[in-house]
Amino acid sequence: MNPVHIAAVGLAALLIAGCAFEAPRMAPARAAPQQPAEEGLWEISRKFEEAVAMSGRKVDDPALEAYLQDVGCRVAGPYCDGIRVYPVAAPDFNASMSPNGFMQVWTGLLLRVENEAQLAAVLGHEVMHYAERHSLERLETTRRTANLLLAVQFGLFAGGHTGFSSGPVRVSLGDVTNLVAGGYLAAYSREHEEEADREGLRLMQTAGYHPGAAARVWQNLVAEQEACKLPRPAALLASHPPSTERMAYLDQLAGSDASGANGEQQFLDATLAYRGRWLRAELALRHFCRVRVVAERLLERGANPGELHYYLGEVYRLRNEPGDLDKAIEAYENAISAAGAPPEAHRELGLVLQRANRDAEARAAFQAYLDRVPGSDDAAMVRAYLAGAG
Amino acid sequence: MTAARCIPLLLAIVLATGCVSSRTIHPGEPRDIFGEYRVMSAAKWTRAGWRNMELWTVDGPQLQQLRLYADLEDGDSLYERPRQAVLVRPSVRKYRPKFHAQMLPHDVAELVSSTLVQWGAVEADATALRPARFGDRDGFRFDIRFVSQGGLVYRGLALGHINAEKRLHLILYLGTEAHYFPKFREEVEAILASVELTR
Repeated sequence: MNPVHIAAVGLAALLIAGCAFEAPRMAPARAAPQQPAEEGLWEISRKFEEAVAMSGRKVDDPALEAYLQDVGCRVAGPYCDGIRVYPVAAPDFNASMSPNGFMQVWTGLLLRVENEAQLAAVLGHEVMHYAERHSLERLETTRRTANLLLAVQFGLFAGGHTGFSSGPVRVSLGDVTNLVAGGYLAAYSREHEEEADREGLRLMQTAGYHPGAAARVWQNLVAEQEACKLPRPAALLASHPPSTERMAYLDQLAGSDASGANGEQQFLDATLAYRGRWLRAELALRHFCRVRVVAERLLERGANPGELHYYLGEVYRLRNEPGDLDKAIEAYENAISAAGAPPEAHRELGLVLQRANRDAEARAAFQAYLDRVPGSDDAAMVRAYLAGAG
Repeated sequence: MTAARCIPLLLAIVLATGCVSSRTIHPGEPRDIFGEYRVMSAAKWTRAGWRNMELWTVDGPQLQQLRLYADLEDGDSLYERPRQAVLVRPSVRKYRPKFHAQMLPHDVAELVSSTLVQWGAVEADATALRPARFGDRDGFRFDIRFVSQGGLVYRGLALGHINAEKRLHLILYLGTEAHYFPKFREEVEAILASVELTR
């Protein structure tokens, strides 16, 4: 690249960096679009909210919805009236906020947080996207950047600077400036995420939650990503800061402050009844490693260990790799001897024992299942196993 | 387009069209399912065929469909290409629920419900698993219910048989709970009752 090209791309980078649009924070009492571009965003969000509300993905459970709305409101404080929190059946760690205050919390996230304080950290983050009007800022900044990029590329082309050669490769200056703009917009998005993290932590702290819970959310996620070797986005174009970075600055921000509530029991009271269903949804997608890591971590917390051992058994039964049969048998046996195991633990133990040709033990397990739920809708099938096994 | 460029494209078209054939199932004609079993229909269906699976429908597969699988072996899935086409990336293939030779009916019911979730259902339930006859052999049967991403409720039923070689024959009927599932329910029951194993 000759000095003219370097100067041109540098100038483009500087100009693009000047495109950032700053919107004033939303006034809590005026939860409404405040300019034409924002009206469009709110209209799109309203339609999206309607579509989600009508879809099969919204969890139609008034109790769970009320709980999430309650925690959201406690964290949102004066912004409470403007936000609506929807539980959405989706097996992944995610939550999102639309410009009009419509917030989605995925069941995969609810499965992974350990207490109300961790949930509050995530909800606080999303509330800050709404309060700071980040969607509007991103829209305006993207528009300005695209306009400027067009002008810069036209100028380069008119000046005869279309590209340069690097060895046998011809590099287009248009591509380079596109990359500069894409990298800039991603960095801008990361700034928003960090701002929402930091301000969201203040919100949850003000609401009386333990601030150290925010970093713990990311610590758990990093552990899951590393254990299961999950792919991560390229750093330059990532829309969010890396989880390790978020964990570090949130930890630093919380400092040694040990005050505030964790709300573990309240969270369990509100969500424990759904946990099995959420684990089952992840298993349907064959997220074997992730279910194992989450179940083992939740086992350390102690609630309903029988249920968690049962789902560990399900991981091994369904994965069916060499050695999994023995692991499944052990996990189901652990489930049966612990509190909170579903009756199906006996049935599934029977299935894997039969696979292992341990017919007498399989019969005992099937019988134990029938003893516990004699009127189950699959009782005739299990009786057929008993008649045929051994 | 040069001849060199044209040949791979033509080859791709021939391969793609060769994967699926669409024909009509005529009422009263016995239909042989991959040499494994025969069924008889009293209605006119449109049929698409893949290796090991035929898909029948009257009003369109989004509204109701009958899937007839034959001879699925260890490692096969319920996807249109159960034998794992080489064009599917290994990273995608590894998440597909698969049939295993040691499976019992409960495992097959889970295989069906997980596959439906992977096809986009929001929670799929397989219930009322019970013994049933598949032709003149022992088989099993269960009911299905799931909700699509768009909020549409579907119902279904399945009849299966695992043969002595540990291979799975499975007939799956799915349709919208409102109208299309009940519309052909009796017809499908008659098809299930007509199953005749040919090997």
